[in-house]
Amino acid sequence: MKTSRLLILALPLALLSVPDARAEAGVPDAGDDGAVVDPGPPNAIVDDLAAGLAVKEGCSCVFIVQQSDAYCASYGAPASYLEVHLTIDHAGNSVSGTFLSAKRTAHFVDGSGCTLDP
Amino acid sequence: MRMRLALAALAVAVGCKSSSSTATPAPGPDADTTPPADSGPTTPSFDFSAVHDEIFAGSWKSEGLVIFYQGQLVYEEYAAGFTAQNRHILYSASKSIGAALVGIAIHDGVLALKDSLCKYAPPPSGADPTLCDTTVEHLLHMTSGLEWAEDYGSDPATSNVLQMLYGHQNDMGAYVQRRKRKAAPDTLFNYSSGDSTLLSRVLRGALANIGKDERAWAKEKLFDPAGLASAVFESDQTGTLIFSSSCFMTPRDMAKFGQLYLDDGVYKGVRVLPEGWVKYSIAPSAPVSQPSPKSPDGGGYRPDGGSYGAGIWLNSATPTATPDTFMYAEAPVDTYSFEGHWGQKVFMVPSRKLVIARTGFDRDVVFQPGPMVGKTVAAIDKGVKGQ
Repeated sequence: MKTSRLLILALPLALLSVPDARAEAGVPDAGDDGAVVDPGPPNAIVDDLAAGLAVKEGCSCVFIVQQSDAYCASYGAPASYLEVHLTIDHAGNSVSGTFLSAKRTAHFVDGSGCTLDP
Repeated sequence: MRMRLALAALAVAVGCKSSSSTATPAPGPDADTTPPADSGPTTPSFDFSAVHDEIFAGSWKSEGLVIFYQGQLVYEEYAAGFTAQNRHILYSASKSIGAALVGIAIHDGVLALKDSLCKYAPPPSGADPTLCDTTVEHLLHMTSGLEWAEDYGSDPATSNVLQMLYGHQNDMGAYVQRRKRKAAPDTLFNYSSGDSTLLSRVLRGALANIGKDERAWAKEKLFDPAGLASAVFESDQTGTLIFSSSCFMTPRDMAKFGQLYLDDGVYKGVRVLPEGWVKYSIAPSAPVSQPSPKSPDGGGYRPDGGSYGAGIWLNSATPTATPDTFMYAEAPVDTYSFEGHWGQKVFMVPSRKLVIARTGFDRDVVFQPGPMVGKTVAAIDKGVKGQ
């Protein structure tokens, strides 16, 4: 049915973040142009995306949606039972997070929301 | 295997969880926004208890529900710590807002439907040589023909949408422009957050040509005149608004945006969307203009039943199609919708003068909105009949 287009992002990220599952899935290199994303080891790419999602959406959750830190820390996690360790800096308008091998940071600007650091 | 068992256990746990919530049958004195119509016919009395049960008493992780009838707020309810004052992310329902901005820009002569995207967003090195055959209209319809993997469910490492949003794409529009051509423009519908984001990159370029900033222009042309005071649109590092998925509003403002479409683009007597834009937006594009039955295994990122217009989902490809070809068999044939990830929905039902805005956090179980629409329509019909 049509709603399957809303397939849950969290689950495959979680699945592929487990080494055994990754091996089963045979994760290939990312990026077909090589211009922007370092193709690197597949696991690092998935970790990087997972951390990026958690940090960016966690930042928006805190500063735009204005939900609690606890809610927002779990909001962008790869799955309900897998944590990305977020550091929420209210004074500095930023959220940082680490997921396995990857660390990402997003900054909030009033009126324009959150953006992942390069 | 343990992971899969954990997922199953999680689904069961979620299914058993009930939510605490507060229902408000009418706007309170501290309302942060006003309904779009100041006056109107006497509002019938409605019983939305079945809608409440569907949305808040079952397994869905609902966070907000707002219902407008004849432009009046007739029901709202929040849960999970949300109130009428909290913005909520719209995810892909943002695409509909981006499309509305493009409609305004076309009316103002900033760009045109048949313009090549390259007129406003020069192709980066490595772009497909046929990229410039793609027009503004193709991007609105998601018929650019550019290769794009939207499916979150297969492989995150090769998902274009994840790379675009959460990788290291400072210029998300350029990332989309580097996609190879998969089909000739206007021959294939392919639901693509890339097309939506590239559309914004094109609009930003067109506005820059006349010395306008996209964010400020969006506020001036849409959010302020439509009364959408809570709207925040995030951008990439270059300033391109992320039409695909990064607009935030309160549920009331989401419903007001829907009401704007029901009212043919007019808010409180002032035309905000160009005349004819709503009609254009809810007309299917050529590749998805014929009714087709829903597929038994799910349709993926294409209309599965129903159809797609200019940034808007349509419950039916034609007014005479049968319910087996609808997106949602429970919803009237004329229903159309703005839809986003994890259960963000705005439904418009013109035949019932009805708008439903629903927000949620349905990450672990995909939200099925059909019963919500059907039960709301039933409550409206019963209330009107009993008037």
